[in-house]
Amino acid sequence: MADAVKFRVEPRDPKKNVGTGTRSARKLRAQGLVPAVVYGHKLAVTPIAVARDVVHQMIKTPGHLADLEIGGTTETVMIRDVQWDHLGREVLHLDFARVNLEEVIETEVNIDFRGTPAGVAEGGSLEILVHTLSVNCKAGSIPESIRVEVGHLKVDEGLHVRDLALPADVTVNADADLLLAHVVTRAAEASTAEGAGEGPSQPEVIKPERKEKEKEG
Amino acid sequence: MALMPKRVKYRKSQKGRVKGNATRGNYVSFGDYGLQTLESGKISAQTIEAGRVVASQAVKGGGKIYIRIFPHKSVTAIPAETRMGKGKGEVEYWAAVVRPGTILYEVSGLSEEAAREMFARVAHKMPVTCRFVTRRPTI
Repeated sequence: MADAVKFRVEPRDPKKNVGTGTRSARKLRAQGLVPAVVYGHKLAVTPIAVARDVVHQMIKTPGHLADLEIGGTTETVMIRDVQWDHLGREVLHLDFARVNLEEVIETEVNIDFRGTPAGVAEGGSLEILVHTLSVNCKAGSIPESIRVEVGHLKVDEGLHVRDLALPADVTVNADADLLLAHVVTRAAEASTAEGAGEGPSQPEVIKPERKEKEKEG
Repeated sequence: MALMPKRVKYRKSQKGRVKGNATRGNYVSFGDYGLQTLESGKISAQTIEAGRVVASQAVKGGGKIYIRIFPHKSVTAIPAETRMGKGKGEVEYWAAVVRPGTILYEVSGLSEEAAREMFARVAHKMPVTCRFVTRRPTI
């Protein structure tokens, strides 16, 4: 379970072109702040500005919970969405959703694959197909990650959602038969990669179908 | 053989200009680490294949390589010492159009150190400046 990070944020004027809008957002970013909004629980949307270093600290925290101090009041929130720049270096905007620690929420949790599969010694390699899972749990008890042991997997064996050992109050929003990871033989892997490149020297041109009138004529 | 489309509607395409930044295909999706371009440009099918060969030699069967770009665009050229006119040239090669932020390759099953070393070799083959990237934090 992750703890909430406490920090103070500055409220913005909700008026367009005063505290919100493209120009004011750019000014904030130039000052080392990240524009953000707080919404949820059928209350008014509150535009705020968060310090950039705080944002990075919060994004790294599992669970992404925070206690925001906005103009004298404290609200418990979690990160709902992050808008990155095209290179994924800077955070452009954040969405915070108001949460109650006792309410059930939907969130994404990392899967932590532990161990080296037995099949790797036999010439196979572990292929991870799903890195994160959508789960339903109480906001106050979001697991840091779902730990999975893959040491027992042999070649051509896989791990499914039904094999996961989840905490009591956590449910997964995925099909029980969803394959998370499997051990594949390296020879089979190489043949599929090479096979993809074979073909004619030029692509086939799709010829337009003649209209029915022309066919009749 | 280098990558190219199996079927196309038109063999030859207009040159076009590469404008703006990548809005999709700009984060690591399948693997653990990736190679991201910082410039816009065209990467030929031969270059993509050269990068794949270097990457597979570097991983030595230890990891899985994902190629995130595909050469959809045909590039034509007129032979040397040919008079102007007489129509558009023949297709010379196929290329992938990339914008700043596009992930070119991804790898999984390697340590960060090994992946960095591998992508440094791949980046040498690329006609655009590249950087090493990791997965974005899960939200």
